Amino acid sequence: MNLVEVLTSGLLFTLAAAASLQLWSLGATGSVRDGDRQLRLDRLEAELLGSEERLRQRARQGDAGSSCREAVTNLAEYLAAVPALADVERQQRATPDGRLLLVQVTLPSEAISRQRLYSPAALGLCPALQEEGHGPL
Amino acid sequence: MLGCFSLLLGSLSVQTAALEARLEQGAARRQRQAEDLLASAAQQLVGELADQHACLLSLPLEHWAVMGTACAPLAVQMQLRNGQVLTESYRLLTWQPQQDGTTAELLLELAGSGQTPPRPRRAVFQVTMQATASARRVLDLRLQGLRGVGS
Repeated sequence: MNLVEVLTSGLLFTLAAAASLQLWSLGATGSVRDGDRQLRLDRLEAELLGSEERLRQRARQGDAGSSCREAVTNLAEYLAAVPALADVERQQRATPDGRLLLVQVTLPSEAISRQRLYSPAALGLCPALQEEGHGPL
Repeated sequence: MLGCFSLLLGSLSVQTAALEARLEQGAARRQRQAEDLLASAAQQLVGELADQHACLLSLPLEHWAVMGTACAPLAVQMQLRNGQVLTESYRLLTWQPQQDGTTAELLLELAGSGQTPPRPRRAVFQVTMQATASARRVLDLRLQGLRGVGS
């Protein structure tokens, strides 16, 4: 191996090592970032499921309203009074037809949001127990 | 040369791991979206049954067309079987009340819009009911599991 070959191989090795280190660095940074992001997504999930469980608890108390539409309004007010987890924004509102409650949780830092519909009738808040065979209310 | 080759292999493995992580994140995101849509569809459907078509609660889905018209005409039943929730449409595949009338199994499927080929995304729910001799009332609705989601 002459001097030119030694220098060339040394240069190649240096370039490869530098590129490799950069890739490792990018990978490590991305891994840390992904871990932080996953923690925030878990918090978003916890807020959504926590809201759902609060709605169930409210439903078990039973007195959310005399009609399904009234129950939606009362559930939205009930949920609005409970603060959301840190770094998470939560909105709750009735759908345009007034029959369902839309709960939306957002991570402003990630511009990620999740939303679910809830029906007071599916949570057991309405309507009152009635005999079968009757038509629509 | 051996050193360069080792560095190249190491870098490739890092890149592969990063790519796999991204793919997993995408699958998890799709699973969360599907879960939210299916949970919303279940709330919407069961709420409508409980509120407006209570006689269907005690009937298995295959009996709706014959015995359920008292509270839900066939046209309404079609809308219940093929509904729309938020941004997607869904299908009711199973409504199976148990003998004692206190629980029912609900199976829903999201339409596979925008995917080639369409991929079924299904979820099973358990519905808890209060049962008397002649009536049912929904008490709760819980997700039991997802099928065909996230892969």
